[in-house]
Amino acid sequence: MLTLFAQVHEPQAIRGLDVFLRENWRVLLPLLLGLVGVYLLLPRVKRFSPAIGGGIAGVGLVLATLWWTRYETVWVEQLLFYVFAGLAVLGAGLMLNQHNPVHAALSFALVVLSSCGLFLLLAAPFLMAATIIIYAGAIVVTFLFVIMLAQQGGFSNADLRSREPFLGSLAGFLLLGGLAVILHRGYSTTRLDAVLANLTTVANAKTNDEANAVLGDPASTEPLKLKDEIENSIPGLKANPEIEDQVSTLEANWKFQDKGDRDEKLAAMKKSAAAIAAYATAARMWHGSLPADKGREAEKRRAAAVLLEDKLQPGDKQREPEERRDAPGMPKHQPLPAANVAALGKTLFTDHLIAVEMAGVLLLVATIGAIVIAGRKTEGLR
Amino acid sequence: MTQMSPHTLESYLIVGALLFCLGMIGFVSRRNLILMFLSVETMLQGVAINLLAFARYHGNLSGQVLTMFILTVAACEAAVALAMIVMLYKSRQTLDVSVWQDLREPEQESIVDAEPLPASPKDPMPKLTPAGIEPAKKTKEMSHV
Repeated sequence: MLTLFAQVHEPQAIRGLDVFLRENWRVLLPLLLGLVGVYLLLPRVKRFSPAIGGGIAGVGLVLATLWWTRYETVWVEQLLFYVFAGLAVLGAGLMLNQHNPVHAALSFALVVLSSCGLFLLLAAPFLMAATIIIYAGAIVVTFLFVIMLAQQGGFSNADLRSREPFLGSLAGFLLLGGLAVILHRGYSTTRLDAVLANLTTVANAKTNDEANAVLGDPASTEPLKLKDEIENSIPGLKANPEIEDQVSTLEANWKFQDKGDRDEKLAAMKKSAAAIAAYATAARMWHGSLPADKGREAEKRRAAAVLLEDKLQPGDKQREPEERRDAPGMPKHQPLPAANVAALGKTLFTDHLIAVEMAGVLLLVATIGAIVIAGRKTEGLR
Repeated sequence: MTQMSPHTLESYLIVGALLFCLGMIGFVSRRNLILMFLSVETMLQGVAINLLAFARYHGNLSGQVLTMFILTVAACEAAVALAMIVMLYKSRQTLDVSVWQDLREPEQESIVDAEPLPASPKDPMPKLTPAGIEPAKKTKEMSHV
């Protein structure tokens, strides 16, 4: 179960609060700003301008966008993602702040519409349409009807006060902090990128001194620091003895550079570094998804060729983009079908038939229940 | 654009987590029954974003199927919960959840609102210009033909 996240090193206990804070401060600072902002935004009797809380929470959100989200594809999709995600979080924040329930219901409709935009970006057009119709159409309208039936004039306790605003916000942001730290540790590739940059420098080094600038002075008695970083940041290294051999070769060649032909040692170091870098490049693609397995020779060779700027030899196949391979036992990986409705219908009525029938029964029972509950007279109740 | 990289997946998961936690804060802090329920629905939207992100990442439609079931169940839940809210309002004439706080465990201290609410603004009576002689009051309204 733990290997589903990219636990790149053995899971270790928190070494100390200061170390934890130093490693994860980019995750924690926007959370702290968000906590202060949301606490100020929650309704209270002596209201002050929502711009104060909104501003602080907005700064936290901007920092979170800069530091947490990473997007590596087409910029139009990136822009749409930021717009829809920003509107969704803005709508949720507004919902917390509004003291008029009608305004809050409209902010909820904004949240639903923005998250439907995100559904569309996630290749779920049927769910986008269904959610807009059901949520923003039926459910929000039902809410507005109930608000209309339950209306009171003037200010009321229900709208102007919050129950335990500080403890509530703290609980919410503790949960968000836990989730954000775990996501950051699982998916962050900063260390991997740094190691990859170092390895590429070594692989392209022209002289021993360039290589030693990255690896360190071979004459000193310290071991190779890069080796520690390699072992700690590239996932699945332990399952791959060939790459571990390459790491040992690199270290041996670096250490004993001066004892023998320096050029030969440099060539050997470059070769090892290139092989490890190729593996790390492949690892970066599927970082965060599945652990490594053996037997990816062609992929490693291709990646190594790209690194060392080899030309295609006659007889080589055209290089294809990296493909992700499936873990044993998991459903076969494929892109989602373009005919979303047809594929969804097919899988609903074959794989999930019983669930569909149960959902139908549930809808019927809920309808009957709602009519019975709302139609009762209140004399028997308190 | 067939595959999704893990970096994009992380971004979607963060948005889902944000919506979920904001909904949770709203549910715990607000006192209006309807707004509490709207916060629960926001939490469900966050979960739906999570499911769909994983469905896209693995190329597996099961995430979309489960989101559809969440939608169905949320609709049922909305119907039943709103019916109950209407009954609760009819019983106590307020949507405040604190009037039901005697349903809690007996040792908990009850919430008492310290600050009084500001006075509600009264709608001012409209000022009409006086217009001559006041008409005689009629005992029965004549019907307009």
